[in-house]
Amino acid sequence: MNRYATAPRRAIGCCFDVTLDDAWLGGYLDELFAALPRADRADTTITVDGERGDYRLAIGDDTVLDDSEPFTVVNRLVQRLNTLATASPGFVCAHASGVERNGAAYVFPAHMESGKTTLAAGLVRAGFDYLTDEAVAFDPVTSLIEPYPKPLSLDPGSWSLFPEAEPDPALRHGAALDQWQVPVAALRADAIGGPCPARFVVFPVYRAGATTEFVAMTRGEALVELARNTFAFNEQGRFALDALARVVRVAECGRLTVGSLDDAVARIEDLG
Amino acid sequence: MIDAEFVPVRAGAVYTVAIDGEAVLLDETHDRLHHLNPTAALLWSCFDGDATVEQLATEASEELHSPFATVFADTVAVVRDLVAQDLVRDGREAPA
Repeated sequence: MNRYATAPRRAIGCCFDVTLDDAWLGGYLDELFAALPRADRADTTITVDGERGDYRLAIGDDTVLDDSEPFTVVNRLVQRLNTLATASPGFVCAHASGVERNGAAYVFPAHMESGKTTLAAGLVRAGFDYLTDEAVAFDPVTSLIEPYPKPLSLDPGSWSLFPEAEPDPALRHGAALDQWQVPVAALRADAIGGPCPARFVVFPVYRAGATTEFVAMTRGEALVELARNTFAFNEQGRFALDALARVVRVAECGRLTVGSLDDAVARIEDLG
Repeated sequence: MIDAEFVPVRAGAVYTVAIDGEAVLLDETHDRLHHLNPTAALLWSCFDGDATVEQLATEASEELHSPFATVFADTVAVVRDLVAQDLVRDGREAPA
């Protein structure tokens, strides 16, 4: 039986491809990961065996899922890819979304459920270029951000804001979706940012009904918050703290309370 | 008890990053981060293991042209906070 192989792609420092029995799902994944840079070859091989409703997802020899529907495989694949990407050696990765305009990055570090994906999606739709919705990877030597333009993982609370991003109904296969994986091209064509320095480090928090406002914070406060939102910070310790300090020293920093996406986009546009 | 004769000594495994007059401390023993405002950061930089709280406050009040009583109270408060977070100990006592 012929197997479908996706194009090798690079997720920060992790080069991967996916081989599958189901060419339909393979084509879908190729579109989903099209914004990630091409790699010469894959170091990590991901396999999806079986047919719709009975997929088996494995990374190397590690079985991740069995007997699964398309959207379950896609969501879990994206989650695992995040884990592989943020473990890339040679980068300090913050749990953050990020966009770029005029060669400068706007970085939004935050925990889950803070609205960082929604904010990035709104800014991309408004004309900013996309860097990532999950992991901002800083080169510790140059402080430049390595883009990780993965599909945006939109939770149900944001779906009504982006009706154009609804995924292929075939992914449901009779089941209810719990997250949309949205290629950035579904929001705006040619919207991928390049390596760039951070000019703004803004900590968003979504509060329903709140007035959207930006409040400046000191760089010392921002450094602590950024470090607390950095993957495997304790393992990297002072090396990571020094790298993040170099980022923060040349950035404007603040907190953004988000009550409405449109207002938040406007506040961010005002910064630049 | 933080008194005038207390000799602030920085804990051993604390890495300091100075930034815009503030400081960020990485306590590598407890894997904790701390933010120091400019006053606390200035005092932290002066903790050499010899000077007492009174000597530090005297020096700072002269430098800042501020009343000694005010600076002394601020110094005690900063040192008390840092001791509570295991970042500073009393140099008159043997290390734990």
